[in-house]
Amino acid sequence: MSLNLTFISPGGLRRDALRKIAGEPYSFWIESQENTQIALYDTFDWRLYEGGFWLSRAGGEIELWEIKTGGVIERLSTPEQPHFAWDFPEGRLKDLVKTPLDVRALLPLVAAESESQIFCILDDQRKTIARMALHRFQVGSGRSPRSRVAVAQIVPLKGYFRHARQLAKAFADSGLTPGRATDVFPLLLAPSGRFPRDYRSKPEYRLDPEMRAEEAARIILRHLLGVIRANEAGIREDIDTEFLHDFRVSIRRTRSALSQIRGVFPAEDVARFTDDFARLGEMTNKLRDLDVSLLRETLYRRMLPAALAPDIDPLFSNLKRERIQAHRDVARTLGTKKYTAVLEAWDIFLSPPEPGSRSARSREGARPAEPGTPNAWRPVIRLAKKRILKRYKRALEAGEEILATGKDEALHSLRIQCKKLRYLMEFFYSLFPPDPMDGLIRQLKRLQDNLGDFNDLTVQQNYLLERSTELSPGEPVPARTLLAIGALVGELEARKRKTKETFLEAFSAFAAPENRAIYQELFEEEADRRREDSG
Amino acid sequence: MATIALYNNKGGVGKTTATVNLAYLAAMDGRKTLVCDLDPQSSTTYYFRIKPKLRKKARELDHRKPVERSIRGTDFENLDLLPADFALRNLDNAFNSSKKPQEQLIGALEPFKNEYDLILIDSPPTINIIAENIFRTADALLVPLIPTTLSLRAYEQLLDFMDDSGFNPKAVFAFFSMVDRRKRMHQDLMAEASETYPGILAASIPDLAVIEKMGIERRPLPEYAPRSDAARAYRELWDEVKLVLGL
Repeated sequence: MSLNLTFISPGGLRRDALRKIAGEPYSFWIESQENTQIALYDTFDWRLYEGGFWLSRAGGEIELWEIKTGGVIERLSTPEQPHFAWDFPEGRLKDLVKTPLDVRALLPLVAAESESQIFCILDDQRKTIARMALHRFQVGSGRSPRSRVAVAQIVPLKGYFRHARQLAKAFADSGLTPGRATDVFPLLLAPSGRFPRDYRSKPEYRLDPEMRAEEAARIILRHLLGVIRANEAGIREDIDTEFLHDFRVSIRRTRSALSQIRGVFPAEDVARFTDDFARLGEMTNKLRDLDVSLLRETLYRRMLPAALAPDIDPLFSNLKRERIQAHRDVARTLGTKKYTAVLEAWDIFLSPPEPGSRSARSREGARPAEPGTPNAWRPVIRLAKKRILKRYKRALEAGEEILATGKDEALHSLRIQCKKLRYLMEFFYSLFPPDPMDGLIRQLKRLQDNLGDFNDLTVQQNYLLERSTELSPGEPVPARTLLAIGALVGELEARKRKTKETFLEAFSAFAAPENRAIYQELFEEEADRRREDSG
Repeated sequence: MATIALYNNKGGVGKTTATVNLAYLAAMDGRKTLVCDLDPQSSTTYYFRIKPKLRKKARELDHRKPVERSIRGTDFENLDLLPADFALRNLDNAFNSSKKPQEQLIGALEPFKNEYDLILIDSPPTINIIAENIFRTADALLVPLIPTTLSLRAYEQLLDFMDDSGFNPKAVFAFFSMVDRRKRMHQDLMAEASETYPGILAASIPDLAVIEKMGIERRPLPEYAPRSDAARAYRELWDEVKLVLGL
């Protein structure tokens, strides 16, 4: 068992505390001291944390911490704090963060004052028998900071391990918590009410199988509303492109839930809110399209022959201009009373009813649910199974059609069915065992990726073809740019062909008898099975 | 990796102070350095404030493990010490009883060849099996000499002994130690010796009170008196050693 030499003191440590804890015959001597500000950074959705890292910045130097080992694995001096992966100078640190970060921006999580001291710990001969690094942090300045945390690390000296062990024991006995240096970071976040993964776009609620379907629907939709709201500020401040993406996905999921979890809410409410969200989604289409196109800039340059690469510039400079305007429009809309009203109405609709109100009675009493909502009181598990199985069958049908006709439109239809199926499986995930649920979702995702790629390539082609007539109203396309656009459309076509080739493999796994069996096992109701067998 | 042994079969010639100060300068120069205190007086160990281990039996140099466990970090970066052991007094017995007694030290230090850039040995003032081991292990001997006739005669005898026994460490060097610059006789002797004997280095260490203070300071001289003449002298010595040994 290796010795833990790092100790955390939530609540901080008085400067003399460790001297007293170490006791006779040890004395302490300060070798060096540094006072600085330290700040922690991560994306809105904690991508570095999910990737097993913390990132801190102190005194012009970035430190990348590995959560697994609790220590710094890379350091980098940079005059300015990078926001995006591509802002980092080339090197190992960039290589480590670029995959988790993807296109998301780093945001400051918390800033703290830090005092670091290196001590020599001396024996009775005043020989150094160990060193100790003591870091004391304070969030908020002055005499009454919001929080204090300290971490002490014993650094043993060769041949004096016995002393290190003794000191470690003394520290542990005095109530200091053995741990890792990275344990300090969540403690620094605590005063601001933040904690790792406090924002996740994936749902974390658990549904009870016997829960009323209506109640389950509310829970699902409430979660989605939370995600929508959480991303508003990031969109308005234009921090990175993914705030809008998560916003739009949640709107899509909301509409999908309203449409697929049927007979649970009164039809006119469903119609009204579906429409509201449709318009909300549409309002963001242009900005999202532009974001996606602009993100492709580097990719397109690489796809073109070197001679043509610069000729794509006019296309992008146009896009950049359009994008600025599109963002202004979206940001403005998010600030309007109309927008706020839509979400508020939805919020109220999703809230549990006031006791004594008409709707409350219909839920509490033995009376049936409101007219047009036959499923509202059914156990959600039955609804979930039925809808998932039905959707799976529809997807299979759509897939068979592609194999039969080979038409591109049929691919589009399958893509839609798969999307609906995936949303259902995610809404109701907590109702089913992770094994085989995780496997089914993984496999569905593979098929969706293939279909999504094909669709995405088609969209790109259409976009470029549109741009080939004019860059913007009245602005003709330079001849060389036309050539570049043509080259890109051709390259995209080649990729489309390739994707179509792999479709068969992806779909076969999805439609395989073993897979069908799993779906049936998991989602078929006894009653339905008996009905099928008999009829 | 180089092994240098500070050696003189007479005591009190400034061997130990040279060992400590050269080791310190080497470490500050970025060389990962191990000092081996094989002198039963354990002065080197004392100067570094390290407590020598009291052992009843001297099995130190028989296996790798005990040697490794004995190594101590000094207060200074890049500098470790293998402390003297009172039982080293009895070490000749241990050496004599094992097979190949003359190669015990080589074997014991072999595993550390990759870990350290420089090994400095503070040799006991003897001519016995331990000394023989040191002669075999060291790449170079560094002999502090007091500028007296007798001292030089002893040096000559050492050179002859090397030749006759066929040990031939790759190099034997000497430097004048405890030099009194005021004494004409010292100056003359040093000049003559440099003509007559091979391996005499130009750098010399003066006899200064600040060097004696090391026993009270218990740390290397360039640490507590970095700007002194003595510190300069040791630095010149270290520079010359680096040069002649190609370190």
